[in-house]
Amino acid sequence: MKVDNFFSPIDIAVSGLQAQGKQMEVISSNVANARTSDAGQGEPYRRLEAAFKSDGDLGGVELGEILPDMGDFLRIYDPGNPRADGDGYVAMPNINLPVEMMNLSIATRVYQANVAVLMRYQRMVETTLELLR
Amino acid sequence: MLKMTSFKRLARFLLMYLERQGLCIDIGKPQMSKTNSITALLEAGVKAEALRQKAISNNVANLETPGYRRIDVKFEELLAKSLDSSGSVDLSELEPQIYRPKLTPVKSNGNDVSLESEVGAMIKNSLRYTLYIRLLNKKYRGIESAINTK
Repeated sequence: MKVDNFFSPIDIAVSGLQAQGKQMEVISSNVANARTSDAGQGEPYRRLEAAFKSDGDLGGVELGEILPDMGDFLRIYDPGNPRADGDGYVAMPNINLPVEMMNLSIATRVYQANVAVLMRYQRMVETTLELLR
Repeated sequence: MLKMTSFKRLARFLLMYLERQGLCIDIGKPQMSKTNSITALLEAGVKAEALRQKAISNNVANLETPGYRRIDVKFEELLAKSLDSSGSVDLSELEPQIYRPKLTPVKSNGNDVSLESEVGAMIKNSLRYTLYIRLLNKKYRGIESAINTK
């Protein structure tokens, strides 16, 4: 994304809002699937991570891809579970709920920060327009 | 005489704003002489921004409508093109057009409206609208004081 006009701070802040919205989507998927022991292919749900990218220039943030977290699955002892292996262990998603909640807080704060930038820039331009009164 | 120079300065100011928005209008070229008046230019701008506001509210209203693609208003490009072409420009013929850009990623329900970008577009739109209205206001006040002169 390349923006270089008078309103580029608005475009950049909006790109931040969209990125954090996507991040929120990924976190909510992770939280909802924290105990999904079957996500197809005989594996439990694998934690997802949103990877953002920027072209290193003044152009806001872009969503690159949503990548799987290749960390080890949790193993929970639950012999009564129909998916338990010979030793009575069930593989569970590699999701750590406190980590997800922490990421959720960060995403919320960054979203708020982008809204603050948007509002501040709007007020700045309004001040400029006051000169024309 | 003093008023005339201040209008010229206002016109330059507006052109500078348009140029900074990436509308490819070069201040260096004497293009203003082609249009009849700055008032007509400003009025056309106000009209386009009012229509764009309608388009944005339509997009927000259809935020969750399956298969809906966002609409936008094409005006600045048309204005820049007509200012570039030779011959006089009739601003009353220059109508803002509604079109579907189809550039934004489509969600699973076939809808491509993003609330955040609509909010951003609305802020930009209202700032431009305020700018045009303020400039028009200034122009009219100039005319008014010219009439009142004895």
